[in-house]
Amino acid sequence: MQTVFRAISDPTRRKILGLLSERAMTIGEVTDRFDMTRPAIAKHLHILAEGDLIRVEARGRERLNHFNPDPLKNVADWIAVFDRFWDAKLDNLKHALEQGDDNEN
Amino acid sequence: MTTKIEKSVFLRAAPEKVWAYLTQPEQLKLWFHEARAPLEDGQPYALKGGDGDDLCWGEVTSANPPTELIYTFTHNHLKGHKTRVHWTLEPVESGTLLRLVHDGFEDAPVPAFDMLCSHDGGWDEHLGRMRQLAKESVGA
Repeated sequence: MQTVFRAISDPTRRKILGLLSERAMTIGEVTDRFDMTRPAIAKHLHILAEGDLIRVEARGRERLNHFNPDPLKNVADWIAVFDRFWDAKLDNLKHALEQGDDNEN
Repeated sequence: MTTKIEKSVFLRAAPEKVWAYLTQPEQLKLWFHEARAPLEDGQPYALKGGDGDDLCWGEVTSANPPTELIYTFTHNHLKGHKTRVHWTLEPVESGTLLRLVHDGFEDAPVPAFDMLCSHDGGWDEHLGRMRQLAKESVGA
């Protein structure tokens, strides 16, 4: 999961993911869309692959990079756990405070 | 995608009283978990679980009663990674508008979701309930 956070922590990588979510691309096609060198893009793609956010498919001599959204769902689920946690706690707080009102005032 | 949680709740109580519920052990026990000591500016804090072990802990980085409280927040599942909890209390007619921002999840060593769903010591009964909800929503 840490590798997913690392993968999405960089704006260039988020842009790459946005592009690949529309269609699969070769590294050359990705590089054409950025003012960066091919090795720099390759490094970003490597980090994205480490987070399992892209998967590489060999098609003939080409290597196509596909977007894989599944790990993002895990991140969203993890955040959602805290989201519900606070919902429950704030509900408790409201209850405790407003019941307490009757006793103390 | 967002990695920040934002909540707000209107409370029928004065900010001073809400402040006590955010910082004092006995009041924290009523809605969250009992603190080992009152939460004070610049001091570490810990909240106890049902079994007496520390459940979540961190350090109070800013305390301006009764308007703003900021602390770092971690627990076993975060493996010591510090997230940030930021409370603001705004006096409104007949009560307090309490706002919560919880962020800093980036780079957290988060367990896989299936691990979170398994019984690995548990967080607390609330998380147990949330696990159930999470499972249901994933299954849907």
